Amino acid sequence: MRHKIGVALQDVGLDPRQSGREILVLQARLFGLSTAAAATRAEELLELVDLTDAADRRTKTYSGGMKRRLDLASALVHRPDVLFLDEPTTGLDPASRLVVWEEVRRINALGVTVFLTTQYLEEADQLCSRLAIIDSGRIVR
Amino acid sequence: MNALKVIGGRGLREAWRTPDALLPTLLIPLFFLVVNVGQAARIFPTDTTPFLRGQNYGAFQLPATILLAASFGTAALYLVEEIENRYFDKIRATPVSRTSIALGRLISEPIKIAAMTVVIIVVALPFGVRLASGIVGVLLLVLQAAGWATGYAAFLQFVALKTRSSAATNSAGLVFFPLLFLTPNFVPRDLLTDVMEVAATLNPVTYVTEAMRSLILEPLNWSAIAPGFIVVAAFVGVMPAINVRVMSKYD
Repeated sequence: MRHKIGVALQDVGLDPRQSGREILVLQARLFGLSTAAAATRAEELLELVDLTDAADRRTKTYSGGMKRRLDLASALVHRPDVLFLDEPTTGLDPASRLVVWEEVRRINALGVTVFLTTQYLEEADQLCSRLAIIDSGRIVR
Repeated sequence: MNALKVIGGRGLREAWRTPDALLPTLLIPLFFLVVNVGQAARIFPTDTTPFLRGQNYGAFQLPATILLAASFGTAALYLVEEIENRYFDKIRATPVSRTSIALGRLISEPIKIAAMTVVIIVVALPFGVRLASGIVGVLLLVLQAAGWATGYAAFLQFVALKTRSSAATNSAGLVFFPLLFLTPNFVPRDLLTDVMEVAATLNPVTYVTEAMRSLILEPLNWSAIAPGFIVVAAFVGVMPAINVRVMSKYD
């Protein structure tokens, strides 16, 4: 099951002492990729989320938007079929939100089903092809 | 095994990249060494103190310095930081066994402490400290310190996994101080008061200290060394096993 799904939680969990590239390589290695394959996959994902220039900087120097994009990338290292995003733009400034929206669209265009929770109606409007409204833990609409 | 190597490698990289966290674990024990020797060296001159076996008081104090350096458990402090910032959840979401996650971080601890023990010995040499048990003794001393460090870091990891709180994990680290002061830290066990002697005899750290002290002050004496190694082996056997158990139930 863990190979089929990717998860990016509401709180961006990153190791501040590692670079973006190292985090992706580590994640890929833990999903069973060889050293060479993990390095290649990390490069692809850095390109996908437009972090190639910052790849070798430690993540403690990243902005909130960059951290969120790296978090998205790390949820994709093992090519999941379904990606769960828990309020991916909470706490981001408007410009970073737009960048994350763009990433989500790009990931979706690659064939990944994105299951996204959000409190922003315009975000749901922008990104979702199917929508459910949850109130007190129940789908009400 | 592969995951263990990957997570362990990250732990080492992390230690290397945070000298600000690593240096105090070296400097504070050396500070205590200087202070303790400064306070008590005149009371115990080499010529008239048989338990020093011809060495100075610094040699007698060295085990406490090494043990203190081995009891910071920084691996556990990094772990609790990861639990708090949720990176730990990301690692848990991978298909890696929980045993690898629990033990991976511990791999860096003995390597760090082995290097640090060598540095402490090298620093002590110009002050007249000699290792009477020779090169085998140095290796055993390093092995014992590395083993103790693994067990102690595993103990702190247990606290980290149970409490998920950096404050609690930091506080738990202080447990070592009463344990250290209940050892024959300043004089051999037979010179302690009766109550302290009983306390020291019941304290497992005593046997580790005495084994290290034996390696420094006398040629290889297995009857003094073995109890220390038994304590360390038990500590290394039990604490990581408890870590694995706690980790398997972690949710």
